Amino acid sequence: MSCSQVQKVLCLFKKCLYLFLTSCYQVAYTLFMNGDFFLPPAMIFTETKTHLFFVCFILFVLLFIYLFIYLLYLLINYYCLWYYYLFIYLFIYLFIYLFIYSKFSNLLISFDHFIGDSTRRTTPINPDVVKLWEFNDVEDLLENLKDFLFNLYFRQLLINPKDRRALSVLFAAGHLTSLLTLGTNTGLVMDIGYTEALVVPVYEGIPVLKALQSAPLGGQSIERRIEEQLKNSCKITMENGEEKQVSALPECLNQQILEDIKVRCCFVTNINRAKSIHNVTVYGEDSSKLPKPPHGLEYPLDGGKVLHIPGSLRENSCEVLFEQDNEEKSISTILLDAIIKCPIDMRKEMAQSIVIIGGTSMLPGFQHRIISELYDLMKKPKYQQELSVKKFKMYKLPAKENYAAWLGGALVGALETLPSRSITRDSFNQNEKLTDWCCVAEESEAEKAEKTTAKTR
Amino acid sequence: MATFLDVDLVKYLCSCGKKRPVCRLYLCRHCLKLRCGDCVLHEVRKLVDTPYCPNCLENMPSAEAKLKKNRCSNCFDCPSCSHTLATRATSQMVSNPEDPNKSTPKKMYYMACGFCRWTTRDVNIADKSVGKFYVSSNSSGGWEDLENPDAKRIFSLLEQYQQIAQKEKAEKERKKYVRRRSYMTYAASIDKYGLTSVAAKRKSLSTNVSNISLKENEEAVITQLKPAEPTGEFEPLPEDVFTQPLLLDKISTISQRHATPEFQPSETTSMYPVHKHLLIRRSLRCKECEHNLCKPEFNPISIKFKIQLVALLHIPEIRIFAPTDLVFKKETKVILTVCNPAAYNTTIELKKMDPESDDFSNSKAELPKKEIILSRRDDAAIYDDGSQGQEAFKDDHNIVPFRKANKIGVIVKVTPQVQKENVKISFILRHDHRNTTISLPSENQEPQIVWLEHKVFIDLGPVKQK
Repeated sequence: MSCSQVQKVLCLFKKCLYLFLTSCYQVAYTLFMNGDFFLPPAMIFTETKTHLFFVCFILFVLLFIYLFIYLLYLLINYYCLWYYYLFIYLFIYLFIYLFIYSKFSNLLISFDHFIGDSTRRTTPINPDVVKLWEFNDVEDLLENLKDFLFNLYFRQLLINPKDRRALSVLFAAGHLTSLLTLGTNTGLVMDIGYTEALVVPVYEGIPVLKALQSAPLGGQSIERRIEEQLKNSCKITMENGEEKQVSALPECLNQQILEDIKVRCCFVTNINRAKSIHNVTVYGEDSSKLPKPPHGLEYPLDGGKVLHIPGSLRENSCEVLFEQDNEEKSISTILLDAIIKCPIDMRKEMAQSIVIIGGTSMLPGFQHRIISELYDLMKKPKYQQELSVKKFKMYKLPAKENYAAWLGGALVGALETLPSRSITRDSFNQNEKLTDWCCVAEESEAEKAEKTTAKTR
Repeated sequence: MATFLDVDLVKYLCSCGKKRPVCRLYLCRHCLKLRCGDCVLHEVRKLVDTPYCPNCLENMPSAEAKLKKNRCSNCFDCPSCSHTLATRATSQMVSNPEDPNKSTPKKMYYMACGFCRWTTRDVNIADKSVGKFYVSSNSSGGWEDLENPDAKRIFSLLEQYQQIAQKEKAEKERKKYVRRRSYMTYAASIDKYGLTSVAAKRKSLSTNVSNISLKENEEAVITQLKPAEPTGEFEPLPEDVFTQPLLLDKISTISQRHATPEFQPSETTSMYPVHKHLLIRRSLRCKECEHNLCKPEFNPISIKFKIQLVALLHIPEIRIFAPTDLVFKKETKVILTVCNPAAYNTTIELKKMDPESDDFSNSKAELPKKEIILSRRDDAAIYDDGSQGQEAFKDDHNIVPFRKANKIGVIVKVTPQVQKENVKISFILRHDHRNTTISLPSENQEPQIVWLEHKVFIDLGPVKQK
C-alpha cells in the first residue's frame, strides 16, 4: 500500500467516525431518557444455528477491524491507547449548547417522541418512534437529525432556530458528567444501559482508561432471558379460552412487550435467594431446592389474549446480570476488576465511591444487590488475594439514574466557559474533523515524520 | 382522501431534487418552483408568534413561557394516557362555621380524563375549591405542582460550577495578557522538539470537562459545596415482593414514567397531572426569494392562513383512478385522474421525460399527445348534476374517458417491462399557470400566463402473476 492510499483509507475512516459521532450525541441525549444505550450489538454467543451466521459475520468484521487497527498501529506507532479512547468516545456523548440558556427547563422536555413527521402532535405515548441511529446512509442520518432538531426547536423549545444557533459542540464522557451531579470528581462509574455495562473509574476528573471494563449485559440481555423463558414454558390463553404455548405464537411478543414485562414485573432478588436459584439454573441442582417463587401474574396481550407469567420468571430474569459467564464476568465482577486494574493507592477511594447510572440500574432491588454481591465476591480467593478493600460505598444520585449523565451534561452546558472548550463550527469547517485521540496521535506522528525528513535532508 | 392517504404512489419532483407527494409541496409564486418542507426556511416570527396552549388557546410571551418551562399553567394532561384532563365540578356539603348543625353546599372541583377515566381522586389529590381556569398555580386553592426534592441541590451545584467557570474565564484573560507581554517568544523558542505542543494538546483533551471542577486554589471566592456522601446502606427489597401478588394495573408503564422525567413514578398511585406543553406557530419562507410560502394568522384561535401557497391549491393533481391488472409485455390502459384546483381553465399536456434524466421509470408509457383542457374549479359545481357544459370540450374518448366538473380521466397506455418489481412510469406534466400575484391589482393588467413543468413519478403497483 502506498502512502497516499493509506491516507485515503484513514480519511475515509475518520469521515465515518465523524458521522457516527455527530449522530451519537443526539442519540445519547435521547437514550438517557429511554434507559437504553446504544452500542454495536452485544455479542451473545448461542449455539443455535440461526445465530451461527451472525457470529461468523461478527468474527469476520472483528477480524477486519483488528487488521485495520493493526495497520493503523503500525502506521502511528506512537501511542496505541488511542483506540480505547475511540471506544469511549463511541460510547458516551453529551452536548448541550442548545440549552445553555434554558438550563433546567429542559428537564420537562419529553424525550421519547422527538422524531418523525414534524407535523405530529407531541404525546408521551408514541409507538412509531424512529430512532436516530436507525439509518442506512448519510441522507437517512441527516433526515433523522433534521427531524430531531426540528422537533427540539418547534415542539419543545418553541423558538426561532435563528435565535439560538448551535455554535459549538462539546463531546463529553457520560461517566464524567454524571459525577458532576454529585459535586465530586472521583468515582467508580458504572453505566448499565440497554446493550452493555461499562465501568470507568474516574480519578480527580480524569477517566482511568487503563482500568476500563465492560460486559455485554444490560436491559437487552434481561429481555432475551425473559423471551427465552416465555418460549420455553409459558402459555397464552386465547380469546376462545384455548391454551397455547408461547413458542407456537412467536408474533405475540415484541420488544415493547418484553420491555414492559421487564420494567413492570421483574425485580432483582436478594442474594440468598439468588444463590439457591443459581445452584439450580446454572449448576443444575435439583429444582426442589428452589425457594418458593413469588406470585405469577396474568399479563393481558392484544385482542383478549392473556399471557401467563410465572413468578419464577419475575425473579430469575434479572439474574442474567449476576450469573458469571464463561469468562467469569458479571456486572459485579467487572466493578471489582476495574478496581484491581486501578493503581493501588486509588483502590480504596474507588471502592467507596461507586456510582451507577443507566436505566437498567433502576430495577427494584438493584442497588442493594450490587453491594451485597460485592461483599460476597470479596470472600472468593481470587479477589481476596488481590484486594484488601473492606468497605464498599455507593453514591445516591440527585436524579434518576437514566438521565444522570444528561443532567451532568446540562450542568456543563450552562457554563460560560463552554464555548472555549467545545468545537466551534468555524474550527470544524477549517479542519473538517473532530479532535479526538486519533487526531492527536496522528498529528504528532505527522510532526515526527516532518522532523525526520528535515533531519535527513 | 387519496390525496392525503395513499401519498406514496404519485410523486412530484421538488426543485431540491426530492420526490414528494403533491400534498407535501408548496409552490413559490415568485420563483414559480415547487418547494418541499426540506427546502424552505422554517421560522417563528418574533413578537408575533407566541407560544400558546393547544387546549385553552391562551397565548403568552416567550419569556413567560420560558419561565413556565413551556407549559400551560392551567391545563393538564392525564398522567396515565396523556389525554387532556377536564375539570369536573361537584357540590360538597361543608359545615357552616357559624352554625355547626347547618351545612351548606359548596362547589368543589377535581380533574378527570375523558379517555381513560383517570381522576385526581384516584391518587388522593383533594378536590379544590376553585376551578383551574381562574387560578394561577401559586395561589392557594389551585393545583400545586410537585416539587423535585433534588432541585435545590442541583441549582446550588450549578451555582458553584458557574462561579468556578467565571473565575476560570477571568484567569484566562489575565494569562493571555501576561503571556503576550513577555513569554511568547521565549515559549516558542524552547519548543524545539514539539513536546510542549503535544503535551498541551493532550492535556486540553483529557481535562476538557474535568477541569471545570478542578480549581482548588480559589476557595477565597467560591463557596465550596459539600460533595455528596456515599453510603454503604441501601434499602433491601421489601419482603412482600415475594409473598404478595403483583397487581399489574398498579404499576406504571415506561411512557407514563417518562412523562415526568424528574419523578418517574413506578406506581400509578403516585402519578400526578402533567402540565400541558405549549405549541407555537411557524411560518415558511422560500429560501431563494425569501417570500413567505405559508403564514398563519396571529390569533391562535384562527385556523386560517394569511398566505398559503400549498401546491395542492395551484397545480393539477394527478391520481391513479383505479388499480389495473398489469400483464408483462402487454399494453394496458391505465386511467389517471387529473384535477384542476385553480379558478380558471387550465391546459395540460403530458410529455415524455428525457430518458437520460429519468432513473425511475421501468416500463413504457404511451401518453396522450394532445393538449387537454381542464375546466376551472367551481365550488358550486357539486350542486349541478354534472351534465352541463361538458360538451364544450369535445373530448376524444380514447384519451379522456370521462369528465366531471374540474376533474377528468386520462388514459395512459402502459406496457410493463418488468416481471417482479412494481411498474413505474414517469412523465412531465406541463400546464399553464396564471400568476395573479405579481401584478398589483391597481394596474389592472392581464394576469401573466406562464407554463410550468413538473416531473411526475407514478408507482402503478406489481405486475399480475399468472
